[in-house]
Amino acid sequence: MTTPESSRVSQKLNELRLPYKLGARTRFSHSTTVLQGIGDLRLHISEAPRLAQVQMVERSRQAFEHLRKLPDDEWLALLREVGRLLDEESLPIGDMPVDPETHVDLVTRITGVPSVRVRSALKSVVTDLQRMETLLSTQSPDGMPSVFRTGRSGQGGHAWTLAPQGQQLSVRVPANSPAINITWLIAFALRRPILLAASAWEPFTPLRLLEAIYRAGAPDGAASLAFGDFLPFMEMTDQVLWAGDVPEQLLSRGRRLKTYHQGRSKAVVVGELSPERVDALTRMAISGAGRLCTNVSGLLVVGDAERAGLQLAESLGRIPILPLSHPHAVVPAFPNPAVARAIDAEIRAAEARGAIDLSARCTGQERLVTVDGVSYLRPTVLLVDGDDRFFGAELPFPFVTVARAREDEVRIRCRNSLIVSTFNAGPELVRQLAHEPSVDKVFQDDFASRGYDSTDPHEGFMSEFLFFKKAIWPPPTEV
Amino acid sequence: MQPSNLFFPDSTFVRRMMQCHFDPRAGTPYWLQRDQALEGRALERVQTFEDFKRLVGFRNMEEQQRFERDTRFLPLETFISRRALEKESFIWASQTGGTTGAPKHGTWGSSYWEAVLQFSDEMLDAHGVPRGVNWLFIGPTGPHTTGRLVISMAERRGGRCFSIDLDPRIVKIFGTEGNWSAYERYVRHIWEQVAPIIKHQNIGVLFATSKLLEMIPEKVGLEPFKKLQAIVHAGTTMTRDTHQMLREECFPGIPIVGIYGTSTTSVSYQKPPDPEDDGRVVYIPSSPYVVMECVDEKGQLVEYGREGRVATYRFTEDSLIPGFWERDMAVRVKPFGRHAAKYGWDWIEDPYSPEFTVEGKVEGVY
Repeated sequence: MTTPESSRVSQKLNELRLPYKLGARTRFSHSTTVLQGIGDLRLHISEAPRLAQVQMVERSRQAFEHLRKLPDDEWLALLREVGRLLDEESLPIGDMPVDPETHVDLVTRITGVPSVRVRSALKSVVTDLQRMETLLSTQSPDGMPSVFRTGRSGQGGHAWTLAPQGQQLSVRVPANSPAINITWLIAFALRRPILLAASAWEPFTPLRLLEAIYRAGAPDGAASLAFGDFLPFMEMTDQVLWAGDVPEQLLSRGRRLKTYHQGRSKAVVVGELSPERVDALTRMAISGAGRLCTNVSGLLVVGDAERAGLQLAESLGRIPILPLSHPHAVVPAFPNPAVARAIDAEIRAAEARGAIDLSARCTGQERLVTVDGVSYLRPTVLLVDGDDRFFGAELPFPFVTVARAREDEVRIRCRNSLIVSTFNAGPELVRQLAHEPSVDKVFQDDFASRGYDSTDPHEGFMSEFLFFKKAIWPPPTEV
Repeated sequence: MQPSNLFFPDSTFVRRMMQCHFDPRAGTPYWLQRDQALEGRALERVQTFEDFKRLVGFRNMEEQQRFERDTRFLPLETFISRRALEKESFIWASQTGGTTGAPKHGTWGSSYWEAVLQFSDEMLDAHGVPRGVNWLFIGPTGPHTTGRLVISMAERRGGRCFSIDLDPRIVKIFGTEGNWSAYERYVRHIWEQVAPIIKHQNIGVLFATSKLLEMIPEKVGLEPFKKLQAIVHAGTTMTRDTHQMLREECFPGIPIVGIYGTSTTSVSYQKPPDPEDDGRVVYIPSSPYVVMECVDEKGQLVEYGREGRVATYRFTEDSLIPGFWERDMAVRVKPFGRHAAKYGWDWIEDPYSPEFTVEGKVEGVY
């Protein structure tokens, strides 16, 4: 099959050997994971042996002090340069130079996310690297980025010293969007050496970022990248940042473990939905091709849930399936058709339990479709019982479950949500949601589709995980 | 180049094995009974290895599974030729498997034991493993053959063997049940025992599994192992990448020798390195006692350079195994380089167990 995407890059870039990064060193291994992308793209991803991962951890220990000694101006300039390199320069992936536009193409062909969404996600990473001083100031207890280097408040008079909780951080990076990389980049900007265990389903952004980091002048060992077994990182690093459900091996890490990317974001509608609010809900469902942790996955309606669901289904039903390179493409593809089939089967199972596909009712179209040999799932709104286990399920395409709820049960049903966006909610309901510890963000009405902003706490601030306040008297010049 | 004790099973050897196991009076009860049931008349009809494969070899997985079950529940003597029972000065009762349930049993007769030690010397010398030095064995003893064999090797080569015993079955159970804290505690227990020995004793050769070798830098550090003159490993899969890193970065300049096999089917040694290896981990089956083939789903030999399932034949006076399909996959290798003439039968490359490397089961530390 020749898709616009696959024809845009050279034949040479269809068969790619991808390395792992042992600090600044690029390494290929004999053991590889082979993944088939869209079109002719085939990746042979090097698996880092345990011994290599051990070396990565050792190098990161050496890099810790080096990173903390870099003057603030130099460090922030380095981060800005990383952003510029990512945005403008050709950087090697394995033994191939990859320019920014080819990068976009490759991410599209392995993830199925439309190019326009990939481009915008990468742009947001670049923007955050350029404005890292602001982001660090936001995360600083006294508003000064220098505190993360010295441990001392720039304003003086404070009874605390900010001490690092560890010397390196291992991070599991998912493949949903290149924008997810900003999470570990903030930790890196906080001068913590990073050990990435990245998903093989989006290897390009972490690889190009590491190339940019070292070309910009970061010390060897400041960041390493593996696509294989995560176990040595888990066992050896001081702190772990884990995307998704925590495996049993990690539970004993206690305070040294932070989870992220749990998502399960929800919206609450009290009463009727105006057309503007439907537009906002639509944006919340489709941003990032429906693969972000901030996408609304569950809609609770205090009122007529079916009517609200149909309004959203009609709006989403107007979104066509377009080629992934189309400037208005929204709907993601599934490079592995088996995944699309499995998701479709899961939704059918929910329907067998009584759920109603409101999108199918509006459009009369099949959910699972194949266009030019590539599998897609059409945006779907599913009316479910609030007690159904499928309510709030996060699926990797624009998918929203809708359920009716009484106002007094909204707080319980919104538990374990990254974002709860409310429409027409009264102050008492908003207060309840704000007081719910397992809800991370509450956005109301005109701010409902705020989504991700790096200056907001997002599952807390990274600095709160990487540092803690200590009383040290007399206060040291540096810790 | 010294002449080898190893050779491909020619018809003289095959005939001798047939007489040993299929002689109605002095043969092996298990194989005699099967031969009678199949009307194979192996004693008369088998002249060559190919005849043996055709007339005696397992014909399907059901037969193999029945054999496996029988090795768990029938008296061990059922599988030993009466001649060997009379002649051998000892017959080692080995165990394999048995993580849960009854283990499989096999045998290593005294004359075969001597042969193994002879060709082990030949291969270890070829790799440059020194004689007259002490060994440290980190592995399972007790019912497992490895422990007894490595101790014999070390002593025969003029050294003393220090041992750290480990129980691979409980480690596997910890891993399978997700009891990670117990797993980690057990692994720590192993290294706590290693530390004083490697520090205070004169250890020249280390024997450990690949999994344990990989742990050295993180668990103990490389410094205490700087005086090692050789490493021998067996028991768990070693990838090319790990082998390369151990050879080039962790223990540069000393031989690292792999042994492949099981308690039932016996051992094969890694080929001494050649420039044309390109990092491949290649094993030379210890013919005529062990013949290894890489076969497809129908039991046919795969082409050279292709991957197939490892089928093992064992020919010793105490034990006969007619083409046991191991769980492992490997690449069939046509002999090459300076050892091709001396060991001119099929070799195997990069063996691995799909259940561990692909299906994600817990391989443990052995």
